[in-house]
Amino acid sequence: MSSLIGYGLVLGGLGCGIFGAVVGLWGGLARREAALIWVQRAVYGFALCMIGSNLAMIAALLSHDFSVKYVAQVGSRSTPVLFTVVSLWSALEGSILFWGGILGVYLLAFALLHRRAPARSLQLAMGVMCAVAVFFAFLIAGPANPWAHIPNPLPDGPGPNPLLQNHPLMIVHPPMLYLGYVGMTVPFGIAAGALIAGEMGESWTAPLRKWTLAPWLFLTLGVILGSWWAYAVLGWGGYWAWDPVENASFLPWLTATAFMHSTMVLERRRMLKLWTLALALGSFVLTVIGTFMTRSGVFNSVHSFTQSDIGPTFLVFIGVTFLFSIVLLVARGHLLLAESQLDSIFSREGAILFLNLLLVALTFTVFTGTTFPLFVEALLNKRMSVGEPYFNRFAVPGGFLLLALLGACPLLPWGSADPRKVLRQVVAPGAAAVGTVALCAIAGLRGFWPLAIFGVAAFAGVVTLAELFLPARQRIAHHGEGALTALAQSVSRASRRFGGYVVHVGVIVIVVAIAASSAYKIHASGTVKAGQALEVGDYQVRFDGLSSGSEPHRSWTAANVTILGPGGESHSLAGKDGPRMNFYERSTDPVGSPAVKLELARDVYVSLLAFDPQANTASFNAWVFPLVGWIWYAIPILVLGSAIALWPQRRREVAAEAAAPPGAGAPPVSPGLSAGAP
Amino acid sequence: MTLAPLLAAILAVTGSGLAEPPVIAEPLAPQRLAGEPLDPAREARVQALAKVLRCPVCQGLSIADSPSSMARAQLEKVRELVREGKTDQEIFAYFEARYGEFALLEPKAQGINLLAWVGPMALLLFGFFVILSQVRRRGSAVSPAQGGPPAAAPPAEDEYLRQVRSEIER
Amino acid sequence: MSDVARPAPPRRTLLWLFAAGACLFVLGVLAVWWKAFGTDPHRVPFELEGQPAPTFTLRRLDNGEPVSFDKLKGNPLVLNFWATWCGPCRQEHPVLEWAAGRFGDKVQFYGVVFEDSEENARRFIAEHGARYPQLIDPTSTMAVDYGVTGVPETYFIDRDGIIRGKVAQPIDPQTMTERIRELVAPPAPDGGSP
Repeated sequence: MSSLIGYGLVLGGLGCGIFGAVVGLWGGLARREAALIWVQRAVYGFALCMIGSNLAMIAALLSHDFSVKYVAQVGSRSTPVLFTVVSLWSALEGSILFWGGILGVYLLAFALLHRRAPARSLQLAMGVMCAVAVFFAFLIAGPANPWAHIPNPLPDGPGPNPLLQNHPLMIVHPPMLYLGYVGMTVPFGIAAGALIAGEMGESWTAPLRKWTLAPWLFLTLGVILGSWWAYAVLGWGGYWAWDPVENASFLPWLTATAFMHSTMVLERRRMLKLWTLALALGSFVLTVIGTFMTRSGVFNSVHSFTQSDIGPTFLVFIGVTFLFSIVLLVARGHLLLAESQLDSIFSREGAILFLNLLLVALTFTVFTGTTFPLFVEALLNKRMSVGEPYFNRFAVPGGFLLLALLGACPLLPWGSADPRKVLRQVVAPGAAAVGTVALCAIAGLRGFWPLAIFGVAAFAGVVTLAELFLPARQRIAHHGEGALTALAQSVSRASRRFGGYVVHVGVIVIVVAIAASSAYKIHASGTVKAGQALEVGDYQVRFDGLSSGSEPHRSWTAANVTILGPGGESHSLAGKDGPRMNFYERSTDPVGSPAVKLELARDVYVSLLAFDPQANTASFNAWVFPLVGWIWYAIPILVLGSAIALWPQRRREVAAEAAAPPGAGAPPVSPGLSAGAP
Repeated sequence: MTLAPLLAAILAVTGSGLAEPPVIAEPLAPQRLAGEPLDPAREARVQALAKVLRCPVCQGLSIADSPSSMARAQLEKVRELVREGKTDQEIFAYFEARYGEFALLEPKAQGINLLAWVGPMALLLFGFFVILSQVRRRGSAVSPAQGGPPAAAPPAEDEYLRQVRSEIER
Repeated sequence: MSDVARPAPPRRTLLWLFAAGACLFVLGVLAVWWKAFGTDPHRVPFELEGQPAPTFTLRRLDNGEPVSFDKLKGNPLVLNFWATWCGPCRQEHPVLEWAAGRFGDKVQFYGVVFEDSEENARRFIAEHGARYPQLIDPTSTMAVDYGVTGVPETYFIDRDGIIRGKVAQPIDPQTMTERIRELVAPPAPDGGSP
């Protein structure tokens, strides 16, 4: 019964999607504005069907309806309720269904927020989004159907993949990533709609930017939470291994970041129109490629538990979306050429151009590194590897340059810079950079890249903080406002600027944390008897004996350890909290879980390598990672900054800004998609 | 000798073996304990080498990072080779002779692999020149109609203009 | 729209060139991915096939006597790498027992204990029996010499000491039979028969 309802809803969504795509594109091309209402209804229908189908699946999972194929595949009566709900996205079919549901939510939000925009752009944008929706509805209805009916269901199922149910981060990491991936459909629709219409004015830039920022934030969170999960669960003492699936989520993040910046040049200088639209379209194509990399089973990855045969379907879709994008860009190319030229490289737009180049080059590098082994195998039938050392060779200088540009950009004015003035502004942050490097060197830190990154981070930090509070300080000085009022005013008057700089602060924190934790980690490994300790840096990891236990799906053996700090403080990790090995029936090697002692300045990370109950010995890998936690502690900063930038402007101010001279940087509110936005 | 009865017999034997319930009586773990590190200088070299050698059973992890027993065995082999005074090249060649180029996490800069190394650099250089070519040449006509804010504020009156700039710039 | 500019012809051409280049690139990438379907992404190459087997000297588990590879040459050799902590090794153990009994007169069988303690191995052998001798590889470096990628793995080495191949998964009786047949098949004219 629930199979029938769920599948019926999927078919309903497919129907609505096809209807919306056909009517939207036809209505837009034939300029039938009256058809808009039908496109909107199709979008509402698609959203309701997809959300309904997801809710039906959750209901089926919770009621253990094993006559539904997906429930029989991932459900189990012994799984806790929370993880039963989570198993909606723990395997391929469910995650594609979940994908469809999120797409429904995004389309619904777009249709509701932009009710009053001109019909033609809306029709075309929603038509393109519906076309994407058709593809995913088709996947759910056909190749990846979770609703297939099982006539003689078994009384119980195997439960979700154990790796996915052993940590709470698995509850939030996949939805964040999906929200990021799926969300790129909306900017794709807006950009493609504008290109089809051939209306190359500025009306689409503000909605395009806002609808990219939201998925950008989710993608960022998804990537960071995923690395946190790997760190907390996999036990090899790292958070990022340049795994193909990690790379897959990184690619659209890089291009979306490039987009967020090139759109500023577009709005200020009316340059880079073609480039900005290409980035918006490309980010979407990269999310589809990312899904393909995750799901096709072609890549050697930690996520290879999601292998399936939907790969060829995705390949066709990638080809179609790419060709569609390229044809649109070339066909409208003459409308997109720059209206002004660069006056000087030493300007804000020059720096942003270099930032774009850097981000795209990094995208290309990560993409090349990920695909290259397959390329060599296809060509020469030879297996080879491209791994961390290759990526780091590009990513480390890339990260350095990124921070350098992040620090330099705010100092450079639009147009062209006056060298003397820039030099004057460089003095304070430059001194901070030199001071930081000197302090680090005195403290005994060595190595070119880490010190260079700390120096440039100090520079960028000083510049960014100064820019962040400059308007407030000037309000205090010139208007005599109180500190809080001034800050609130400066934020609400220029929320995008303020939010952007807050995000920059978060990025600086993350890059410093990555550099410090990878350059100055301390590693020790060895075998100790009970009562003895393994020394790692200033810390001692004392082995207090073994303990073990069993759960329905696994048994485990843990080493009880006490971590003794340099100040004599001790921190005990016993039983399940200790570093342990989990034994699953089907797995050859046991799966380790590390134990981590968190501090603000460093983590002490212990994982169990081997143990011998007879001799009462255990072998450990132990690390001290300086500052590593700041990679995830920076999440609130990024969220805060993005939320400030996304915060709707009050109408009074929007109107005031609209009156500002063109090119002064106000978000354009000329008739277009933005008119309906709140 | 026909194969059929033989296979039947074999299957009977293995069948009984397989029929044993897969319940794990006691947790089974690799119990050969981690090898002892060499002296600090040589151990640093071991770890540096291990960082660029790929663990065959893991997904893209190096044998320095991987917690698997296979990686530990290979790390021990690296120690042995370092102890014997082998050069880095000889150690890489040792692993390549067994696992092919697959064992090297960093592709050797030769043959087709050059594409992976040169590609990103070429793109970067190409982009660099494209950007440079976009710069208006000195002396060429300025097109004031195209909007664009005035260039940098004159240094003398910068404080107030800076404030304005900061407020409107987003 | 206000911003329509007459494009200079060369830029238009450039745009087309870019587009064509991008299309070619993507087409190549799609072709590479298409070709990758059906291949096993986890396959690890094995380069020692057809090469002389690395030499070794290891102790026997039962009596501690050293066994040297050079002494084993002359007869085909089946080497099985295993460990007590590996479930699939337990599963394939009966196949090896059977094969050692069935082909033991033509082929030598040796087990090599991988990443495990002697006591564990002894206990396992006492429990499950072994018709063929076991060797101890205390640092597992001999296994790495042989290019092992994990356990269980079974190597087939001919009478000239050349590695003819390996099976990198729990071996089944049919594969075992076929591989051993290839190993004991009358060799090229110069190969001496035992």
